[in-house]
Amino acid sequence: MRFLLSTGFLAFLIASSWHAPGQAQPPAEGELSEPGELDASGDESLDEDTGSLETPELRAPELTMPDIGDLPDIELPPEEDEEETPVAIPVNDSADPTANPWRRPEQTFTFEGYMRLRAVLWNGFGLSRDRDEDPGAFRYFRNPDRNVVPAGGCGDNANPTPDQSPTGADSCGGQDHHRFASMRLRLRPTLSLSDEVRVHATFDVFDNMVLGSTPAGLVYEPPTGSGSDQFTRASRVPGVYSEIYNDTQNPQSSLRNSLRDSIVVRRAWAEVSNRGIGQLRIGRMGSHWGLGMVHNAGNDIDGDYSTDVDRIMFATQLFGLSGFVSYDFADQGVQRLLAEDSIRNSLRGIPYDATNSDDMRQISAALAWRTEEGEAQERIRQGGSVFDIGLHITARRQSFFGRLSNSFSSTADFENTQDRSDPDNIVTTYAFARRDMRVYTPDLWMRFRTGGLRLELEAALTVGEIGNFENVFSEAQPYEEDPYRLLQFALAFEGDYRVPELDNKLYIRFAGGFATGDRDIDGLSWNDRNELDQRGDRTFSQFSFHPNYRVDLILWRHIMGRVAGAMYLKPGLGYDIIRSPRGRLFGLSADVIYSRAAFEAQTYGSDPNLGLELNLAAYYRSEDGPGFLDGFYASFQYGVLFPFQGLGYLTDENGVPEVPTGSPAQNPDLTNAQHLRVILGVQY
Amino acid sequence: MRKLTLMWLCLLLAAPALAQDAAQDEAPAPESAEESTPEAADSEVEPGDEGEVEAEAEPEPELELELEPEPEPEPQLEIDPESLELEVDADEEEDEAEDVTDDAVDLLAESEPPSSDPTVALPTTPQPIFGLHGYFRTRGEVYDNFFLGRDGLINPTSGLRDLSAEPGAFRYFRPADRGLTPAGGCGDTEACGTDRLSFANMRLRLAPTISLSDDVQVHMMIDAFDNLVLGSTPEGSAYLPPGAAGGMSGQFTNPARSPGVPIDSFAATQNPSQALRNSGRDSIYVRRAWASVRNRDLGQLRFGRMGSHWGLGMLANGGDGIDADFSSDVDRVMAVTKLFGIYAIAAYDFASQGQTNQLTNDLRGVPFDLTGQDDVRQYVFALARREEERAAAERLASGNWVLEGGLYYVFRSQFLSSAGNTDPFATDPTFVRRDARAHIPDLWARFRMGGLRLEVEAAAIIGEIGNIENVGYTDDPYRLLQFGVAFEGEYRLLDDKLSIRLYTGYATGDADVNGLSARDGLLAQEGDNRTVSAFNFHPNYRVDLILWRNIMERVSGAWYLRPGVSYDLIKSPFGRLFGASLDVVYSRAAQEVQTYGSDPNLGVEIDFALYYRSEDGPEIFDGFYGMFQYGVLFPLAGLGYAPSVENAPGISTAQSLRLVLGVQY
Repeated sequence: MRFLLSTGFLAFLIASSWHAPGQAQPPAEGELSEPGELDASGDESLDEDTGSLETPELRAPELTMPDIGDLPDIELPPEEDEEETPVAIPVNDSADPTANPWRRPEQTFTFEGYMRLRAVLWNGFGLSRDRDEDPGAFRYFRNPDRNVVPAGGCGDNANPTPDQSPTGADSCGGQDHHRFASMRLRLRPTLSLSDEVRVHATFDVFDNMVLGSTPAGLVYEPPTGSGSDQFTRASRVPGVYSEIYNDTQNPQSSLRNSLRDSIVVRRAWAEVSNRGIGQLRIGRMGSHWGLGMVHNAGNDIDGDYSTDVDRIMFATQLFGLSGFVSYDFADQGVQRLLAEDSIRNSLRGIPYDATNSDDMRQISAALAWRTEEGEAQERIRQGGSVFDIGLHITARRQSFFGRLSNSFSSTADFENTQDRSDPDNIVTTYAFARRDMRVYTPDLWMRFRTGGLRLELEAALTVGEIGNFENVFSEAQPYEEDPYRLLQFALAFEGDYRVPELDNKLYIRFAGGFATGDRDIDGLSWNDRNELDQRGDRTFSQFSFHPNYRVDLILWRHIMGRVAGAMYLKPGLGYDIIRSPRGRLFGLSADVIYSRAAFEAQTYGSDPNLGLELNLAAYYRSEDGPGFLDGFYASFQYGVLFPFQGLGYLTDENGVPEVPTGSPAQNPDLTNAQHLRVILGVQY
Repeated sequence: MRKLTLMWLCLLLAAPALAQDAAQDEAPAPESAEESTPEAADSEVEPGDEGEVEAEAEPEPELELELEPEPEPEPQLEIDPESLELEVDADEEEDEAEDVTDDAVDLLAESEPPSSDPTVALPTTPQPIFGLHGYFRTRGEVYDNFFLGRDGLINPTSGLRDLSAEPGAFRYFRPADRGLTPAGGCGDTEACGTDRLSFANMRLRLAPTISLSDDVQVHMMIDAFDNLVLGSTPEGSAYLPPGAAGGMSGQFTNPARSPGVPIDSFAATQNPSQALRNSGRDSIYVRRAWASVRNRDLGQLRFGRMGSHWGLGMLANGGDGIDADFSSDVDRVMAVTKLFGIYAIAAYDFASQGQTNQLTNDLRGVPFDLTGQDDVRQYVFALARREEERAAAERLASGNWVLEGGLYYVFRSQFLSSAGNTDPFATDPTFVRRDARAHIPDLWARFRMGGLRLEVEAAAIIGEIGNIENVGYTDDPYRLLQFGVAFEGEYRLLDDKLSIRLYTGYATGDADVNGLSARDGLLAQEGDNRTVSAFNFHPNYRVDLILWRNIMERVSGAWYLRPGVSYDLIKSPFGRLFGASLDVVYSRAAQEVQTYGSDPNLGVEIDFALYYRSEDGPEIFDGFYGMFQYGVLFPLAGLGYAPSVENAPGISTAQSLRLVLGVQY
């Protein structure tokens, strides 16, 4: 397959070279040949005209479709004699256009991105069930000082020998809120060599760094061999004798004072366009489709998760249909660089894939009928309607699972693969296990727009099989041929209507979604970490939305991590008090979200009703910056979740909650959770 | 903090209406005389120009940022002639070239990132869409005998020198091979006897600014090869993680052999520095990233990780100079406004969040603070009267004086501490009660008249730490009572080429602490007294080359007197500079019992410098920068051995040789 792709791309590049830069036609006025520009303009309109999201989406997803633009008819340039190729002369050195025939434009360097600061208050996300025995979904949010007695006590008066009772006067009590702020600066530079050749990158600076988390007094000391075998925190740092002396923040550095570096590169990719053929994209890039239910680029200013893929993609447009096909390097398994001592000792070596057997191979393809956004806006303005539709398919396959057995550990933590030629010889460098996995994910998206109405739908299906999902084998747990099937389905719908009589300021919206559940697993949160624990059958049937496709502020966004195994209904409305044609915006919105599990057996309280959530928001955007969505951005959001029995304790036959015992006694009643957020940002 | 943010939100919402009103009146009304500059007037027309709004909004073209830096943003060029005319009208007697230069300097300086001190250069003029500032520097250093010959006393029992008893201040600079006999010996004397450290380091600093408008900007500060010791990452160096094949269990190791580098003598290239692979630091660090949003009628909001500077930099120091090493960087949400000519500042700082959930098994997740009770919370308030620099220059030129000053106040508190958790990634940490709070007032004043500048900063730290232990609790609270003052006086004459100066400062000491260096551990109280009284200057507020800059790391528990003189042989109005300076620094401890030799006299240092700056680049401080410095420290008894030590050896002089080469932009 890769050979075919390579051959195809080679042919493509040869064809591209035929249209040498010096011979390409300049874009017509108003014509956008860069996909990002087309997408941006289209999604901006989407945002402004539909207000489909619970908060104003300032920068619409980057890539709804690898749109190669409004391609002109193929016009072959006249052949020129190589002898007549103009010699190098300074660009724009003549006012006479005939003396300076058009040539490729100057390199340009553009920046997009945002800087954001988010201050949040998570109150009661554990719903008062955060014991060790409680599910990870709730325990994840437990304050570590909740009901504990620190040295000196937590009461009004310091006490050298405090009362150790968790409910005594010296206990820190039942505080169950987290209050903090984090930030991110995103830079998305684009280097354009011409209209046809561009290089893109995405950098994240202080990526969701908790403010105040790298003070001068915080230094991790690596293992020294003299003590414990782990990274430790330095007890005293010169000049910072106590935390009260912290007078500066150090740059983030992974394993020195944080687990993340101060700057990471998230994407880097290039695109090469040929106006008559299509576009080639190569590198690590974002992936987005439809509403973002499955593939979500996470480009919005409030996004946290994204789909980033290592990909070679070819996109084209024929007969009004846009399409692409790509090969994705989803997982290469073990790398030689880490495995070989002789290479590991060097920082110069070139890493390479140790074997193809453990690779996860993925092929993606899509076909869409999408009206060019400028034309769509014009048609809607004239009272017409616009219907867009597309199908995206991903096929994924893996034969083996591979792993280094001793990359960072002195002892192998699982039974090693045997050498076929010598069964007594245990290979200690690599270990492989048969996986036999193949998964297909078709994803259908459609959108209908007329007047102030937008109806948008995405439906996806995951079907496939995993021959074995165990990573660890031993004599006690040998390989078994006991395949698991994948059969999952999900649907997301968004509809909104902007009232033209009120200058599109009032919008009414309704969103709903459904993701199949799995009655053979316990819990709905990814923090439960038991999605593979099948009690009964061998079918994984729980569908998980992309975590960046968000429908609320508390339940799915945080406690469960993403929508999975449930349905939700979300009516809402909003009003833009200020809505300037230059981009200034100030408005209010309110949404109500009702959530219900697909299978009551999967819930924590064996009840399908999960909760009712109310979300309120006030948002503001200034009109600074050259782009319509650029400027200062501020948002205030409040949410409250009223949990239902599905999130509560199991009950016995008499209906009495089975509350874990211990001190202090646990309240069988769930408490409400609240969320307060302030977002300050600048988008550019 | 939330109230602060909400208040700002309301203010910003109200602002456009105010701007529109101003536009209707066709006369934007700046708040103060300082803002009534032609630049401000020109730029204020645009936001309020609602009449040009088209019925249908079209996305505007994307920002195009040129790879090649623009020498001058256009708005500034448009403003320039007007300003020049004003200058000429105001004083026709002045030399024309000097006018042009001064004006250009002012205007060009306006494109710089805002100062870490929020009262300095509050933006009032347009800025380029993408501005890049910073510097590149390489510094060659010779530390000669910075350990002052303190090789340790001879243990009467073993007959060997006991280095472990030497204070950390001096041991830190003792060459690693001094006194050792390596396999094969170290020359004629077998044991190595070097007393000198010589090396070079570098830093590339990038400080880009993205300006969406005059009012909305995003700033960054990025350090590449941050004080990287040249030659410290040769290709043969690659740390192996603990337990890796070829390495050792439980610790990082440096393999003896690397592919292609069978012996370190054959290393042919340098690899990028990478934390825990071949260095303790990465090749690139982001030091700051923050945004500023301004409403012309109300003030400015800043948020993110930003620099903090106040006054002389004795307490909070932005560390922006080309020879700087330390800086105050804070995670902050700050509001700045100006009322009746007075800057008013309020900020909330996330000084330390304690234990955070860092998600060891998830690279995608969103880290969060595990609890707010172990946080160090900090509130900052400041009031300052500062003359706008252009107006101040005019006043001084016309023979008047300029007086500025301000009060900066910090309140810091902490209830619990999680510092005792040795596992930095624990999600279920233990806590101890800390009960710490500190009040930190800082007063700054500056008086200028003619060539005279008198500037003083005084600060106090008053507070309490209920328990200093990280593990366990002791009902033995410590009080904080510290005071520091720094003074700088300078007089320039002979066309401002000759500078005569006197700097001095004082930082309270602590009679219950042994030693003056940060490496000695200043919190341990020897007696029953529980008052921590040693005041520490910011390490980037430097007064010399050897004693306080390096051996002690910063001024603490002492006072110093520094008379000096400098003369600029070349002082071009376009920025070229060549001169020489000479300073003498006498240092004396505040508490003699705190010194190493129980004597208040610490030393006399003579520092000499030759400096040069070219006039390249668009701004006056831009260009090639070169400096040669030499310093010699004559240590006095306070740095020697205690009188109780029998047959104590003497201490010897230390010398410093520095060569700084850099390019500032």
